[in-house]
Amino acid sequence: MSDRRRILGPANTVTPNIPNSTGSRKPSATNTQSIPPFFLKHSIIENANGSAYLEIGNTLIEVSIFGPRPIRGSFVDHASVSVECKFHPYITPQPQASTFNSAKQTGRTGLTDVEHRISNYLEGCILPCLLLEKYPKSSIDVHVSIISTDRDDLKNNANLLWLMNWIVCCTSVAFVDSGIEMRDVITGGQVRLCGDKVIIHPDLEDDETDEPSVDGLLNFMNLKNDEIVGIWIEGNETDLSTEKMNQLVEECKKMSKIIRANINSYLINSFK
Amino acid sequence: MSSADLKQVSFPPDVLARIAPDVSLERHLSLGIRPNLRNFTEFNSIDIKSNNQQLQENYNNIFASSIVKSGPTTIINTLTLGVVENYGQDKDKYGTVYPVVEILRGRMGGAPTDEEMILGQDLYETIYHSKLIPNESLQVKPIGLGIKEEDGETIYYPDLQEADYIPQSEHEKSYSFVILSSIKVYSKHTSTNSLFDLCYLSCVDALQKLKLPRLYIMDSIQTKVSVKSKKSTTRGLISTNKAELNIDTANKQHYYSIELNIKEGSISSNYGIVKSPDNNDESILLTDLQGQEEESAILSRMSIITNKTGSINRISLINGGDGDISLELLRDAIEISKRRSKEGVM
Repeated sequence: MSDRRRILGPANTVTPNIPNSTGSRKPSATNTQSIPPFFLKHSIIENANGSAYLEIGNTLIEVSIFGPRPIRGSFVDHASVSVECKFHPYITPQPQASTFNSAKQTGRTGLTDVEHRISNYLEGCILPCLLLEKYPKSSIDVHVSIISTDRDDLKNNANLLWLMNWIVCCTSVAFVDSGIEMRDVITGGQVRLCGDKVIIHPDLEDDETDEPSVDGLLNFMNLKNDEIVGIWIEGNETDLSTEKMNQLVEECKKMSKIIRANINSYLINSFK
Repeated sequence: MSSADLKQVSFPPDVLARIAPDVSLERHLSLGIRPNLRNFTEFNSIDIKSNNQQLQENYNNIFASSIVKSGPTTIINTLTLGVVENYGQDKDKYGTVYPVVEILRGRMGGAPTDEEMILGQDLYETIYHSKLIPNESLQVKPIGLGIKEEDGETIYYPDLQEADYIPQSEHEKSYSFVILSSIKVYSKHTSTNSLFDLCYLSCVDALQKLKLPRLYIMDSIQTKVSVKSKKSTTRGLISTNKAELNIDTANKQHYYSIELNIKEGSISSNYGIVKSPDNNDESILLTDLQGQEEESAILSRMSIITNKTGSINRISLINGGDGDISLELLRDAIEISKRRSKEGVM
């Protein structure tokens, strides 16, 4: 059905195919054993209660928090949280779009299925962390816009998890900025287990090997006894043993703590 | 003892601005200054950055971009392209852009807000009726033919490599480009009218930077199209010889600038008219409305687009409030607009 609220162009518009650019990927300056440097800034959106901006490689994420705002209607004893993650419309194809999005979803209208998945995961992560009972009869809206992603990564599986991890970290900082009470700042780790190797942010070459591998994203509340608030696992290995899972948790926890330390020092320096 | 022993309540300025914007505006104006601390006919400074390198290098489907900043408000406008087949003769002489405006303000739900719809419609109509984009410039130049050779892919264009080009009769269809604009507004702090000015500015700026690509189809056409059978609900793949249009992103030297009718200094300015707090018969002209008080307390508005040559592209006028729009005020506003077109917004 046509969208009568947006001006999307003539009905018979086709989007011409854009051939994949080959070999344009710049060799990554960092190795795959350490976390690349990232840039973080808070309070960038004036009409939001809290906001943060994060840049890592070509990935640019902006998060703004609106609320707590009063809601109409009957009394509820805790705040309701709604999350909306949106890619800018020029980001096509969206990561994992071939699996989840239908052909009609162009990103110029409502949320696509991939965006729904991201929003759901983020909501799952932040819900256990917020003290919602402190804000009765209110709503808290979280808006994430993904301005740019690491383009070549779109082909490999881990990139959505990588992007997801940074969305969660950025959202935590935005929540700190908003002053909404929370139990802890959420951070996370995302690694790939490939045989005995542990790879952080896999490169294109790592993707070409046929070895079975598991990509895992785990989000933690590190201060609260490393409570896990989110798990997302992808990979081409069919059975995931307990040892592998333990290793995955340990590696992600290690990475999460490093990111947490970075965010801590950023927060201490900026809220002095 | 009197029962009406009420204490006077006083509010800090930012609270007063929310609960009684008209009172706050009046008090400011009687001091000779606006709530946003600008003079009556002072415009907010604007910063434009066009064709963002990082975005365009990363995304081959962005053909022009413009980032406009005014105060805290930031607008990211990106132009992408679609293609439409030309049927029949009844064609408009001028094209337009198809804008989708999104204002970040923490409202949930898929449907766009009234403000977003109004802005989108306004931009669409203004660009169309200002006759900025002649339809001829949107015509796709002759489509090239991609041929797979041993050392990769070569694309032959009928107009560039005439000698090598083998004409093929199947793709004589003519196509036109469709310019799709996506506008994201962050930290909205200005009024809807000022936002229109900024969006218009970003559209005009991006259009001027727009470079159109060449299109080609591959020689060997093997496109698989998924079709739904009438008898069963399963989808099957069948081969068709429907050619898929490709954008030649590998040869950026073939990109060409679009020819436009945009006159230099096409700038949109907006004005609000409000009754003077000292003299009720007098009206005050305020430029470039911004902030809570002005947005909600000023209902008489004007929006004027002029260019460097002095001609006027558009005037919109709403007399909604108690400030009367007199001929003199209109003349003043046009003069200010013209001056702004001459001097530029930066």
